[in-house]
Formats: sequence, C-alpha cells, structure tokens
Amino acid sequence: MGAARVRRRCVGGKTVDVEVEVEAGRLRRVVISGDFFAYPEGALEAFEESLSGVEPSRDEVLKVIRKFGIEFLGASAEEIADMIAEAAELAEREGGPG
Amino acid sequence: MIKKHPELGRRRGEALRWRLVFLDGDGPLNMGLDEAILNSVSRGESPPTLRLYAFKPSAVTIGRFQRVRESVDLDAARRLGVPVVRRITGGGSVYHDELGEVTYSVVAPVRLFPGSILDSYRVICSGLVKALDILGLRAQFVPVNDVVVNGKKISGSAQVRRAGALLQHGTLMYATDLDTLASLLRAPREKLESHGVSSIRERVTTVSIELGRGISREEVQEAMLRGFEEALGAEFQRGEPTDRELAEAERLARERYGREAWNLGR
Repeated sequence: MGAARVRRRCVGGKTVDVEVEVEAGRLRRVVISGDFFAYPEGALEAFEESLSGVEPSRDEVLKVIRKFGIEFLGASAEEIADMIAEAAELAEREGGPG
Repeated sequence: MIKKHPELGRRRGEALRWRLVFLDGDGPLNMGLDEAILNSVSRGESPPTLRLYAFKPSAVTIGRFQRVRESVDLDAARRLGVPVVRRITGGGSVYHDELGEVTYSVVAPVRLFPGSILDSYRVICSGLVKALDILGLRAQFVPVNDVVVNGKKISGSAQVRRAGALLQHGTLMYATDLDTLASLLRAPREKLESHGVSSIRERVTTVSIELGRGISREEVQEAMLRGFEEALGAEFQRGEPTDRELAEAERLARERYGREAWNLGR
C-alpha cells in the first residue's frame, strides 16, 4: 500500500489538496480538501467514498465525478481527476509493486 | 453597475418582500441559525431572509472541505481564546472580529436566482459592492467569492444549496484587527503567491483603512441594507427567527457546530 499527496492552485483560483492511498493498483482512500466549492451538498463526500476500488486513471475518476453530477467552483472536475491520478501514481511508486 | 435581481425586472420594479433578521450569537449558534433558516426556507415555512450579525465572541470559521490544520493556527486560536467552527459552506477560513466585521447571510429559494451558481454569487456580492460604493469605496467582485478594494480582500462569501434553497453567508470587514486575523489564519504558500503577496496580512483590508477614518457598525449595516435592497430587488421587513428556527439552531449548535468531530474532523 502507498500514500501520496498532491497540491495544486487550480485555474479557477482555489487551492486543492488531494490525498490518496492505493492498494493493488486501485484507489483505497481519497480525501479532497481546500477552499473550493462543490455542489450539490454532500456530493463531494459521497464521491470520495465511492472512489474506493476504482482504477486510478483520470478517465475512470472523471466518470465517477460525472455520475455524481458534481459541479465544482474554483476548480474543475478535470483538474481534480488529474490530481487523483497523479497522486495515485506517486503513491504506487512509493508503495512499490502491488 | 449593479445587476438587478432578475425577478425584479419581471415584476416591473415591484420589490420582493424579504425578512430582515438581526441576531448575534457565538460561532456554533450563528452557524446553526444560518442552517436552520436554510432548512425553513427550503420547506417553504420562511420567506427569503437577510440576516446581519456579529460573532460574540470573535471566532474563526473554516470551509467545509478545509483541513483544519492547513487553514487555522490552532495554537494561536487557543492562546487567544478564539473558537474555531466549521461551516456547511465551502471556501476558506475567516476571522470574524466581534468589533470589526458584519457577517451577512442571504437565504432564498434557488428559483429567485435562475442563472448559474456563479451568477448567484455575482448578484449577491453586487449588494456588497454597492454597499461599499455607498460608503465611498470603489469595490470589485472577483470570482468566485471575493470582493476587493484597491486589490485587497475586504469581503469573502460562501454558498451552499440544499433542497431548492440557497444559503450564502459572508463577511464585510470594516475595522477588523488584521494583525490578529493574520496570526490566526493560515493560507497555503501557493495561494498567497497567486495573489502576489507573501503573507495574509498584505492581502486584506478594511473599510476603515481604505476610507482613512473610523466608521460605525451602524453606518456599515445601513449601507449593506441599501446595497442588498438594490441587488436583490428586495423590500426588507424587520422580523425575528421563528420558534422552530431557533430550536433547530440550538440543536445544530449542540449536535454539529459545537462538536470537535465536525469542527476539527477533516
């Protein structure tokens, strides 16, 4: 298992931190924090929960964001998905194979 | 240029009646009351509401998605006896100086704000821009949620939407102790750099500093009322929270905003 964190100042003006844990090539735990906005209420928390077990690629994560219909302000769905994929890659490198 | 509320135009100048509430509280109660009013408006039990209030005692609020340790200096907060409360709205950390800022909350059915979410921020924040104009300052709305004067932040806002209603609350700093603010709030280096400053202190200002004179809370509140009246197409009628709102506010203050599990839990 590996863990990593990525921080980015998003184009929309907000600072987002993504922390991920990966296990056996899948996302295990994801926390997205920062001064951004996400609508509707509760969708971000539900999205984080449902990422467990998802393949950590930008496209797969974007699919989940779209499923929840999350609208971000101050950051974009694409940026968040990129960051999750990037953090997962770092985490895998750190955690070693498997 | 102030954007009129869209429904105002359709009604040919006929203003919408809004309830106006003045009720101060401590951090948990203030956040509980804003949420209780949101629930009441979403149930159709209360009219659209503007609330103007203070935090007694001074408090820090943090955004729903913030890591508490990234956004507040908890040691400083403990030393200064300043409570930290997490909001249900996103956004960043705010220092609510009991003697130096007016907090507002706007609660209304979402249908009164027919455009995008960002449009609704713009409309509501235009009330603050207008208020500052009345006070003699040229202010600008900077998306997503800031109002700035001479390039410095004087107001920040945050909005949540729940069950057909929206709550937007925010601060207008008129005499905030900015040194205390700077000692309490933390911001990522990346954020400060993007604003071209090296500390929070350089990035914020107050009405009093910009005007170069002292200003009373009453004068600021009066300007805010006129600004929101115009921006929202509202006619304010002084009112009180309902018994149900107050009871719910107290319950939320106890069960959510008064608990470390919520306030420090992310």
